[in-house]
Amino acid sequence: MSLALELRGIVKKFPHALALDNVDFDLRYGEIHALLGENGAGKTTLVNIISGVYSADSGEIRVDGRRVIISSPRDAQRLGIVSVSQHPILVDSLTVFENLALALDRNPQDRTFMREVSNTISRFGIKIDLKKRIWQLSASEKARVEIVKALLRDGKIYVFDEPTSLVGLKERVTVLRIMRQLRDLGKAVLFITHRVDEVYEIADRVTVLRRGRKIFTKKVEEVSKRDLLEAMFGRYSEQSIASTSRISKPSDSVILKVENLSVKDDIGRLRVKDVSLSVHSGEIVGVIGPADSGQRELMEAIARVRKVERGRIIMFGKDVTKLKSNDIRRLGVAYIPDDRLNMGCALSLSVRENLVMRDLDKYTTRLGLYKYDNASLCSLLTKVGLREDLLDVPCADLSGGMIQRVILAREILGRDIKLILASYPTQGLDHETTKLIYDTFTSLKGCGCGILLATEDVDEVLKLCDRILVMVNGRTIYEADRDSVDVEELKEMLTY
Amino acid sequence: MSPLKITVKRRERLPRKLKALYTAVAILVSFLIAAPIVAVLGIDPLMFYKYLIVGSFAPYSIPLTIINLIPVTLCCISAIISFRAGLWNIGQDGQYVIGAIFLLWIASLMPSVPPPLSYILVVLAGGLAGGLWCLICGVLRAYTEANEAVTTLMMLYVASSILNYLCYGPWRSSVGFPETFPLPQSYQLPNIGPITSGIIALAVLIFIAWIILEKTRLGLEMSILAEGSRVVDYVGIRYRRLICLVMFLSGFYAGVAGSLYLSYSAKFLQPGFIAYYGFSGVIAAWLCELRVEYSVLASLLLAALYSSSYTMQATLSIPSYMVDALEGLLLICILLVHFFTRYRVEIRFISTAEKGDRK
Repeated sequence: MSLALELRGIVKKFPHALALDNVDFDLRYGEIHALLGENGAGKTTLVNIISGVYSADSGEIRVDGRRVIISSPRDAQRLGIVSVSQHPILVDSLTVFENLALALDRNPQDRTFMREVSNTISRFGIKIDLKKRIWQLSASEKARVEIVKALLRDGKIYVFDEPTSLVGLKERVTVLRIMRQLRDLGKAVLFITHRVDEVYEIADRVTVLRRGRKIFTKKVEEVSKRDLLEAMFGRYSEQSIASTSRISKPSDSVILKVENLSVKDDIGRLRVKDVSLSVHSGEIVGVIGPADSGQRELMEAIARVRKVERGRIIMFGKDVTKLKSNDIRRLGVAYIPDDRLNMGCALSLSVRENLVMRDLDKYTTRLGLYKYDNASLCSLLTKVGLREDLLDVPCADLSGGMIQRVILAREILGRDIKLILASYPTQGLDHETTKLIYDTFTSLKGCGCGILLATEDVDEVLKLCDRILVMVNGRTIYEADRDSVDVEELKEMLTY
Repeated sequence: MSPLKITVKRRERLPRKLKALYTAVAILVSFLIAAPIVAVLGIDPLMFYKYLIVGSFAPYSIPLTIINLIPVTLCCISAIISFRAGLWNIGQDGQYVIGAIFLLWIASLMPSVPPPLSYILVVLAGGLAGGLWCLICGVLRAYTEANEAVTTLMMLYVASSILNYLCYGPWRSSVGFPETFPLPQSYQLPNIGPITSGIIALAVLIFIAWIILEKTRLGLEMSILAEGSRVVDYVGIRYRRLICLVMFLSGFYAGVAGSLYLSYSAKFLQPGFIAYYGFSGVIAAWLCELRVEYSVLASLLLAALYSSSYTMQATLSIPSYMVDALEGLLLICILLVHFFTRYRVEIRFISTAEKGDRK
């Protein structure tokens, strides 16, 4: 089997993170090569570099043995690299066929194109009604359109980015079958996934990425499941588990109770299905799961920035299902959103304005003018380790870690907090800020504050949480006290 | 395959002084570009520049410049209010016309209201009508997500048609021209010396707008609204109500521009009452970087163009649309400066060796 694609020493830096650190990778014709890693391992960055969305900071790419520069998606297509995106971009008001013609720059009146499309569909056994308009399709039908689009491009190298993460079981079988068919046609197939089972089901070779580094590339039949899990998540030292700071025991009083909650995402798919949970005072509860399992939507619904479809949220014995985000803030709830830049702060406003914006009632005089006490705002900043002269700087000029500190100061400091809802609070942050957040959480927990923490970081839940919930595909499938958690089992669940 | 690779990158924030310098350069450049166009029309560019200044800032031109300055500044503030909140009201001219029409109607119903009270009515009637006119677009935006840039602009043509209908139809004066009966005497703002007393109303309105935008909770909520729906939900702002309020305020200022202009200058309505002060106001709003405290300065430039266009038409017989062209050039140059102060454009040649490999 000859080499289709070769990457040598690929490095990609983002402002606050090293996304890919000297990664080598190769892909042969006639194989399915799985790229495995947990969220944030660098899989998507690597795919984006191959398909020309990003360019690497250094390193070289070879296609068919020749060195190439891929500086745009168009370049990638010209080289025969076809990627199947997990978020199809389609025109809602056009039919499936018109969308295909548009994507391939063909005339929708063209009879030969019509024949090409129907040949491809029947050859790969894909069921799709070409005359339906996109807005009439379900999410998995849209995914099918995206696949047909890719097949029509007739490339040499196919890149499937988490094609099975958002579709149902039946659709998954189809996608895997198509990948197999492509391999048998002698194409090179790159399959990005976080599901270990799928690797065994379909791949010939597997490469594992962790925190931007390649751990190994091996033949699938030569690697055990245990090795794969360890390569994905690393080995947990007993010390990291022992270093837990659970000084105080949680009390019996329930401060947050969620009953049979169902929530939809922005495009109307049900992403949280019938979830119930509770948080006691002085307790940290971790919600962990594979990417896009609905944790974000769950947290947003509890924090009252997303609509609840069914179910109830009760805080301190009070039904808050219908309340707004600032109403529950007044009850003593802090919310650290995952979307720091678009939700957590107003980027073009100054740090001062960001510190006061969630308490406008408190800072408004009777005439509607706003008034603040600079000294107390400054002391908030010093408490989170920021300089006082940042007060007038717009948030857009701060680093991600500094922005998170501003959010922390606003949400948690200087007021009486009983419950913290923290969604991915340390994602993509530097070591110092992460430590500050851990310390703050631990000390507040000691004061009887309850914390609900959503994360994808296994280390984090093991270190901080008293109780762990695993959420997969919108449902909680596992709940256990930290002491009784089987770490191996937990890791495996994250690859579902 | 192009051997050029062009990338656009975000820049560090520039110091304010440097930005002001760039804006000045933009103004200068737009004036320089006008020179060859004027030359093609067979006019000496130097004469053009001379009359540009004489026509607006010579002692006898200043009152005229101020007459134009008031509506331009008010429309500029109207634009600033909506743009600050991330809403795009660009139909100031429509609200301007409606403000004037409503004032004329109110005044014709109550012609005998005595002066101090009638002057307050001038401001309130124009503002209320302009505000409500713009509120229509605000409600459409808040509850149906109709794009307010489109609706405010289209409502301008509706307003303009209403004006024409009144001028040719029910309000036509007995003189025979397509113009309405005049505004009752007590509603006409007097001059102080050679300068209109409308300038006092302008000063007060600028101050109020500055307080609202810089000092009140409303102003802060507007800035948060501009940041997008996610942070608005998080902060807990009732955004539908806020959108309506902002659009009303924005329309209020444009409406006052119309009623004031009717009161101190036009005296009656005619189809030519729309002088497109609104569009000039939008340009001025970008020129002053959406800061109310600089709105007069920016508007002064645009107002000067208006008054010099009269002089140039009379003395050099330069068509008045030359000044419109100059306004357009000005806007383009300012927007370019905005772009280049925020982004850096890098153009890189890809070496032939690399190119050969690409195929």
